[in-house]
Amino acid sequence: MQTNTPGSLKEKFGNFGAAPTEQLWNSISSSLDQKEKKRRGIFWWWFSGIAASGLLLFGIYYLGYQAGKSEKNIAEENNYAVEKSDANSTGSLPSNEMTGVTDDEAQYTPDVNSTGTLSSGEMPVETHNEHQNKSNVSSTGSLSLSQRVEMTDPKEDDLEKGADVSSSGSLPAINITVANEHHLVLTSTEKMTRLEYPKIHKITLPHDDNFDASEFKHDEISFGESKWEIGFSVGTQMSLSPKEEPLYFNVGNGLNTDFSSLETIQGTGLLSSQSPSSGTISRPLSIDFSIARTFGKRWSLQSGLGINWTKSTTFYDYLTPSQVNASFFSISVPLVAEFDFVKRKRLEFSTGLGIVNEIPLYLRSSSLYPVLESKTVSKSFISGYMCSGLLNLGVNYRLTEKMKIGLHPNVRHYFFQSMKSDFPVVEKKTWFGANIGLVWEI
Amino acid sequence: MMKGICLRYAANEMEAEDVLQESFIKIFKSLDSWSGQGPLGAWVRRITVNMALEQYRKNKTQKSMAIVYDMKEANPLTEDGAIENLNMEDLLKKIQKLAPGFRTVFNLYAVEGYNHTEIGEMMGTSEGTSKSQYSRARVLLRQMIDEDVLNENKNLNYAN
Repeated sequence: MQTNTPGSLKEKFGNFGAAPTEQLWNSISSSLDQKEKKRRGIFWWWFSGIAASGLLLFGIYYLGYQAGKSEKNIAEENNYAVEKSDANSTGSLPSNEMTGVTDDEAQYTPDVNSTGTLSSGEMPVETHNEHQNKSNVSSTGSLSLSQRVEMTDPKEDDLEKGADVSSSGSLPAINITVANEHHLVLTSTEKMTRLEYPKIHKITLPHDDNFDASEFKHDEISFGESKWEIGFSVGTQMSLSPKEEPLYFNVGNGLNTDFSSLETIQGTGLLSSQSPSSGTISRPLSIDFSIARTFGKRWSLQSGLGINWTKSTTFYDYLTPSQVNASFFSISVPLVAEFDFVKRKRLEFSTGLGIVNEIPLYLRSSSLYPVLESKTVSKSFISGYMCSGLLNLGVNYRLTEKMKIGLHPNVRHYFFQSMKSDFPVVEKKTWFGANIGLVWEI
Repeated sequence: MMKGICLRYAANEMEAEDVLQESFIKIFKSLDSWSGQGPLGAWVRRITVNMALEQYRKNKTQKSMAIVYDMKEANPLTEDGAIENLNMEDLLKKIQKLAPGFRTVFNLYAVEGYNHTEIGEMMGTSEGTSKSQYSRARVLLRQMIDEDVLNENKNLNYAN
């Protein structure tokens, strides 16, 4: 404060006052109610955002878990078959239902009786030699030409021994080439039957339209087995909103450090008579660091940290100031679920859907004052929250075994924005942009 | 008292009532935080001035209908001390005609008694800007008094 108060103005205005009107008291009362509603609204936005993130996370986890479980079972199946096919050459063909079978149970080897019939398994399996003239499969129980393997299906008690199971017409067949050059044809119902037989070199897919071959295709993909990926990208965006209809933040924090609620006042009401005549947002620049966890072969959940700069310019028709440039710095935390709908050895196409949480941190603003013939620059830390929905379409090209380069065009729509700023900042609406960067599998 | 403060910082009564309303709401919500030490009037006054400053921040980047004078040729005939000799109503009207920045600096310095360093911090400008704006505000007020005197003389001439 001044040591010497100039003149007598302080005393002159010391007791100057006027009575507030009754209309003002009514307005105060209604304003207090509105503030309360606004606070509840903001809570709802936060709650919705957290709930949506949780739901998305759970969905991805669940899908990934199911896919992983399915692949694990298939992998175990193949491994088991290979391990157990080390030419102990019993020639036996155990047939056990895959689901719920323990190793001990799986080691059960049914005897082949002297007539060449197998003891009963839980699933019907038919074996017959493709070569019509020879039989050299087993030393203890060789399968003769066109010999019928006797089965018992507990679910189909009416199947008689010796019946031709494959003749039921509903059982897909898998051709298996074995170490001793024998070709077997297996038939099964929906559940794959575990086999124990001399070493399996390869599995070829059957020509059966009813057979779901997709479960076995994973062996064809040699890359993309990593569970975690980290990435780095740069990107920019352009607004799809018309320039003529800008909306503005105008949330003054002033000297009130205990300003408790975040508010967004859009271009109506208070601002309608005083707001800037037009506004633009320059293309923001962003640097993103990402980390992704893959679930199954095609799904992944991506998050990370983005650093963004956005420049907003507002123009005025008259008087002070004529133009305000506000550049704000923000960090963003995305949560995106991605699905690879095309996955080749080197090329991947994916689509993603998610939300981006953005937190403005720092604002630099410069105002041009024609009246004062001066330019005022202000720098301050700010706070706020923005939330946008993200839809992207990406293409990745594998440069090396562990590194990919990717281009990700995307569309973002901001559905909630709030910023405590002393300066008007043009509100973001719908944006189109693209990121380009590198991804490493770890 | 509160409305008087708001009238000094606002361009008109409507704007003053907006600030007054926000000040009342702020005071109602902040009553719990008042320590009880010191006079309540001073606490209320400080909050009202702060709200007026906040309004200034909102308005300073928006349109203002304040009268603009050509500062380059500003050389008023009226002496500087004439401002303090104006009656309160006349002075208030003239203060309200000032551009928001000039009005705020003038109020903070001449009426509230803050120094230019404090004003610079409050308004997010430098001490030099505050000094310059205060000086220009006084020149503008003297120009307004010049105009009043000129109009008065014209009226007298017409009457004669």
